[in-house]
Amino acid sequence: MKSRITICVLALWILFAMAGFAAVQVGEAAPGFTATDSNGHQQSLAQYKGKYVVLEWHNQGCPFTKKHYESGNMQRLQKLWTSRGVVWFTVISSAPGTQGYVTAEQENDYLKRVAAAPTAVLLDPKGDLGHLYGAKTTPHMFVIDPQGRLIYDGAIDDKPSTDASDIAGAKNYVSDALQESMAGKPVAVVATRPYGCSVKYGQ
Amino acid sequence: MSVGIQFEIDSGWHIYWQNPGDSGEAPRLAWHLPEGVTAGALEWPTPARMTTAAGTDYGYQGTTVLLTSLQIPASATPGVLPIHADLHWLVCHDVCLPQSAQLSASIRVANNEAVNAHAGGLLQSAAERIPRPWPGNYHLDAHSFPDHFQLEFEPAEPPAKAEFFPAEVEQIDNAAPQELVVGKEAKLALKKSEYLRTEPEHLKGVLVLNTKTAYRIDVPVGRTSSAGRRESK
Repeated sequence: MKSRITICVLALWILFAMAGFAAVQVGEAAPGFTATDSNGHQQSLAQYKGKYVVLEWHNQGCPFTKKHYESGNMQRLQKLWTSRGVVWFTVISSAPGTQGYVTAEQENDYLKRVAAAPTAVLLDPKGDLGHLYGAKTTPHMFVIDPQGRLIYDGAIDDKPSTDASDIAGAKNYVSDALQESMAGKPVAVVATRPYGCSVKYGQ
Repeated sequence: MSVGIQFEIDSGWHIYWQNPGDSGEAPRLAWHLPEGVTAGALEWPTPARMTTAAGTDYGYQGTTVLLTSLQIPASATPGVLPIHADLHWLVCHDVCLPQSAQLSASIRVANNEAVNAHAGGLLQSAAERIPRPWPGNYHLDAHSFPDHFQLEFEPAEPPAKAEFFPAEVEQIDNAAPQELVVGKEAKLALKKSEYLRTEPEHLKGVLVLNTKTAYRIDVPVGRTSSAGRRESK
């Protein structure tokens, strides 16, 4: 038997840059940052001391990101946790000209269209915040506790696929970390291998 | 009987190996087979290492064939057996596109032997790109150190280059250089993954020597020094 599959796609541009990540360490202080959100406001980690903060690396064109948005999973998590006082930052580190790069206006249109509910979307086209945290994939999730300590770094869940039907049976590491920490328990899984598309950093 | 699934991938794009590495996703195949027919595991050709700004992936460019085998029961009546499969895969350049296809083919069953006139050349050249088993008469061993694993082996000729592809995720650091030292035996150091949580019992994957000969290996990981050296079976 011979099954021929021809994949026709539009070739875009190639980007190569050297990897150079400052690793963040679970259990230690999460590195501080200030970034501009899609409404033009300055957001800093320091101003949310005393609250849990979730960082979600995002690229709206990435099939792994789409899995969690087209299913409504990410919006559900955003609504659930922000309603419990958690600050949720969606972070976009795609460089201009790469997949996922958006202007503030485009991002605000997208948020409305998909009914996303993060606290704010941080625009990081130079990749500073991405490199500071060593964000590798979209999605890549970080959870910071009210003392400013990093308590989780890794995948959104334990089903590394683009298949939305995997979400129902998946163990969501972000919700688990928040739940356990809020209950005063140690976080059972503090770091996992993030899965998704590579973050589209510039040169 | 052998079955091959051929991907023809546009220049500059790639699909992924069974372990995609730091990003991406392996192709997924779900068979729909007539009663009594069963499919074996997928056999993957030797992958290539692909490094981007965000990490190192394992996959394929150009024409790639995944192989498997179908077991046709001896009791199958002569005639045509339809087989179907749902295939999902991710193809990436600097962006990724999820793709899917429903594959169909017919197997002619004659005299209790499955016969297909078309497949010979394709399947044969595909089989040559599947890693071969490690020859049992050559030593192969693995040891765990605090920050790395070490593969120790005595191939027929000292290798000038060796490269290991881990079949399992979260075992070795995909982007780290693999240092080869060749003395009486060859030693290849594999930096442990930052996501390694429990020590693996085995290191499984593909060991490529001198960038041409690929071996499929599955070697128990020893936690002591090489004093009690094990011969591979």
